[in-house]
Amino acid sequence: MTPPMLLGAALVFWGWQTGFLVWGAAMAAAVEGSRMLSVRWKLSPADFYRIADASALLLMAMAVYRFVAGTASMARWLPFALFPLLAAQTFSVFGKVDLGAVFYTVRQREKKNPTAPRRGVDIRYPCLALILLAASAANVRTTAFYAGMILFAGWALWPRRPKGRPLAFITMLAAAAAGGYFLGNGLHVTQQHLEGWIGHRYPSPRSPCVT
Amino acid sequence: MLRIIYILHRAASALTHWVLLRLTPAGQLVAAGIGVTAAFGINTHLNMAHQAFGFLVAAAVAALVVGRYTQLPLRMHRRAPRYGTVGEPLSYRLRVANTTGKPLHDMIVQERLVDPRPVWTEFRSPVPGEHSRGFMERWSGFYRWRRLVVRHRQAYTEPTPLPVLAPYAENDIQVTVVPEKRGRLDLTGPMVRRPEPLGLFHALKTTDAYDSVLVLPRLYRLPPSALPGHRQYQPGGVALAASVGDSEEFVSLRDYRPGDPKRSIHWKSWAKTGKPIIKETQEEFFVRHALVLDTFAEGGDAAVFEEAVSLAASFVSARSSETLLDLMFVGPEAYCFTSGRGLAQADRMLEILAGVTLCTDKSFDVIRPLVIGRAGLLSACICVLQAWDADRRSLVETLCGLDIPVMVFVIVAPGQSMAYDPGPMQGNPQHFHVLEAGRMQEGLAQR
Repeated sequence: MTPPMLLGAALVFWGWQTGFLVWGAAMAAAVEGSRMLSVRWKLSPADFYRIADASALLLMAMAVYRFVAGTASMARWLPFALFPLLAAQTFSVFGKVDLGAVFYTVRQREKKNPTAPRRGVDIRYPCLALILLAASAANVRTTAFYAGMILFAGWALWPRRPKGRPLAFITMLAAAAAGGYFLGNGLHVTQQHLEGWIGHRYPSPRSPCVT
Repeated sequence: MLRIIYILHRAASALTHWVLLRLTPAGQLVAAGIGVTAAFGINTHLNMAHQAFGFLVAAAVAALVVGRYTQLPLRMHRRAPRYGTVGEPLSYRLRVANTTGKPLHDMIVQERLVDPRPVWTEFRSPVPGEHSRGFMERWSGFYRWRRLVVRHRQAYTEPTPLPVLAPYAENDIQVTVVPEKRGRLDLTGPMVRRPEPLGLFHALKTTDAYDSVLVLPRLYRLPPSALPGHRQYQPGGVALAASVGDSEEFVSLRDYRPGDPKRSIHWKSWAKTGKPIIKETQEEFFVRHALVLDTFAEGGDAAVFEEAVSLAASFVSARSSETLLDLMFVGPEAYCFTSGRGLAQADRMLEILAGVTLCTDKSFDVIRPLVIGRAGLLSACICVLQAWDADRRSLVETLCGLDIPVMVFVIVAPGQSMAYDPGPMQGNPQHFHVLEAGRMQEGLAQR
């Protein structure tokens, strides 16, 4: 179980970063609204398989569109594909996603043995990670993405930290945030230097510098 | 090529073990995130995933360093039981002491078991049933690896949360291991894990405390059954037999010793000698059952054999203390162990059954002289067989021909419980049973 509002806030953050703020807010309202609503559906494993297949089809359609239209990275649309499965988990009595919906081999095994006990997986934390990955694909070159990511990481880890050491948690998170910032930016700067060095060493024949 | 596949399986298995042991679920997600962001953010101009990669790597390194150098100041002492039973949770007490002045939270304890990974010499030989698997399973060696790991795995253990340990306090907790194989279960020592402050990586404290538990076969509830047959004369009696029963043969007279039963006093001799004299007797007529366990591997599989051993163990466990039971099977040689009436107790027989292995180098004929040689002493015979072929039918036919009541149990692989011809058991179909491995209790209940 994720902490209250975490997934919703992450969806809004993704919407803000990618320009799908309305969609992000709507999805957040649906996901977080489930805490206030008592409506739950009794979804069978077969229902979960169908929803997972629908998500996969959506993802494929996005990939096709991305190559046909030649748009930017399709990763920014990931939450659209994830949302049906996430909503199914949120509003199901089972409270998880059947393992067979995520892994095809498990699905085959479950189909052969329908009387076996139902095995589920909680996809909320993986979804959170993918929502943040989708937000990164917006490529907004400010510190907002990094600050948001640290906030969500801390928010997600806080309830799961060992008891009795909050100061150690905050110190380690701050150290990781500082280290990560330098490492991430260092990678970017290194790539720029590498490109410059390679461009200088092996100039393109069409480059105006080549005489 | 096979050697490379073996090395890859071994490395993958070690990595999986390390990940499951050392990383928390959040840590596993971070590890996966590092991989995904590394691939996705390879070009830092296209997205900001390189920043996510940087943060995840920094968090993982911080957690790894802190977790690796975190000390868990604990002292542990385990008291392992002597026996366990296949499939039944085996609980034992573990005393954990906090040796510091600080309380310890969020600890998980679990038993360390022996590494089940096969060695190269085992892996290079095919396993039964491999030829019928798909190409990918055969080519990758996955099926072989999995079969061998399952064969070596003795038990599984669930992590148990430890209650908060107050400063310098001791706490007793129950640790549970579920044995999966009969025989000796090696416990190498308890292990305590505790996540570092970020909750990604576990600090580990292990204690080397070797212990072993004898795991007895699984037992089934046997429905009440009356084996026909009557008491038989046992020439020479049975050494150490308890004084139970009414057919006693006089042996000698001796002086009274404290504790001798009053009914053994020889009153006439007391009158003659003026001191109490005891009449020593030895029982010579007993009910004696034979339990023939088929250990021969020809065409049989390990699951069927395990069920056969379990059924034999159920008979040993359920037999009356006034009945003699001869357990006969073939291992490196033919064995016959007798229990009952003051001889070996049921737990001793179960210990023997815990160590029975499949006989791969001999044929079923080897057991025949052992059974027939004792036929004159037997009241009845229970045969637990892994097949119903000519050799086994012939043995049963011979026993029936000697007027010994026989009860036959044929254990078959799952899904093969077709109608079998009772053959020599035609006259006693109620004593001929075909049981399916994996559904033994169900089959026994239907008898």
